[in-house]
Amino acid sequence: MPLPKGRKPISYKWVFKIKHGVHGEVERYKARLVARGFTQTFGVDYNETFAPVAKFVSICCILALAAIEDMEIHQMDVKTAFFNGDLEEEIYMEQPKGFTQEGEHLVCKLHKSLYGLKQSPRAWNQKLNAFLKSIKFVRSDADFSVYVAQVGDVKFFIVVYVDDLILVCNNKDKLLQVKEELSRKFEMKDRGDLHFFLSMEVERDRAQRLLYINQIGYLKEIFKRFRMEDCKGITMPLDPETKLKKNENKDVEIVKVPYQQAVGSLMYAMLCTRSDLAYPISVVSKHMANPSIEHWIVGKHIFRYLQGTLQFKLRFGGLHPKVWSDIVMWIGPVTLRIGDPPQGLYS
Amino acid sequence: MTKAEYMASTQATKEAIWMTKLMKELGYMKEKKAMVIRCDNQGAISLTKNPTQHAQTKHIDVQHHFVGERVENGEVTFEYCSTKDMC
Repeated sequence: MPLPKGRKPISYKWVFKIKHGVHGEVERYKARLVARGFTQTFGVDYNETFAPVAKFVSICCILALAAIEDMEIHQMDVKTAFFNGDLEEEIYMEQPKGFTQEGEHLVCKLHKSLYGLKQSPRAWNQKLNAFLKSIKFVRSDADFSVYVAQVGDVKFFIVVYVDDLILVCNNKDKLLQVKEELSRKFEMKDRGDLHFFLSMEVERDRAQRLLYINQIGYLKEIFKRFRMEDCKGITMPLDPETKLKKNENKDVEIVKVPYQQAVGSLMYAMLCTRSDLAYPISVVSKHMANPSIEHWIVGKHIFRYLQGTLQFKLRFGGLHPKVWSDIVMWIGPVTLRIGDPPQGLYS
Repeated sequence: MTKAEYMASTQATKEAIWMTKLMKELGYMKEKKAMVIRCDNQGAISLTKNPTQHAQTKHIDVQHHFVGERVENGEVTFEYCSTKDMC
């Protein structure tokens, strides 16, 4: 259609990606048309952009409950999720080359959200929210990405992480029914029992009603990324003698090491399964702006600690939980002591 | 050190209140029952029960005394747990 006066079309880009399978073989070639969202103007092309994602704590809580009550945990993801969102704003995009229609100054008017648009995550989330509400799910006030449905004895929780859904239910028939409803509405991929989610591996021991999560795969990956894969393991996260000072003499050597990225990668592990890293990371992250070799040595120490304690896992559940908040943090043969702040919660 | 634990208990209380809310929505904890938070510092525990102001604690900001209110309301309770048993 012709471009209305006073509007500017946003530009687009093709993104090509090769998807590799588990063993590195080429699985499929992906081509995706993305809008260049940064060419959008606030107030004209988009207004609200906020979209909720699940808090890690709520994921943990629900996994713990599922372990204690021996519920089914399944995972599904939505294919090309963002294409499902409806746009509230009028957005015009340049015609993609090769798919052009003859005529001067013709542009595409977008009906559905594209990848790259500022409001796409929100549009998709609202669509999903509306659908889940229509099949009698209630959105939690405590976490906007947790949905609950309860009819009699049947409990059903859904955790939404953008296009990944974790479905937790104590009734198999109900689970299948909801899965079918979801697949009828959106194009979904059913991944069966939850094994892998956000770089975390999930294992279950249903007889003992236990659930373990670990990030061994992720940790090995960051070892490789920061060339620490052959480091010698140790069992102490931080040398008690460590006293880090501010880097006064602009040490140029450190520029060779991506200090910030390394600390960031460690921080993600800390947030998910390795709360024992909290203190050493707080020490090294004080020097993000101007790190020197000394700081990096402490950083490497954390990597070595991870190497030495690679098999640590988080354990949830148990046969006789006293109260539900008894989320015990046992790790392999060794128990992990949680430092100061959120103690009681993991009593 | 009491101050550190006291402030940490404020954080834990906030988390506990949020978690209670989530659990209620998930259909658990229907009856009103205080969530137990364990702490290895007797001083901090007695402060939550009785936030007195005296020479040693007057520097603790008023915002942290919100723990006391929550304990009074019966939303959380504090129990002693020695450092050795904290795993």
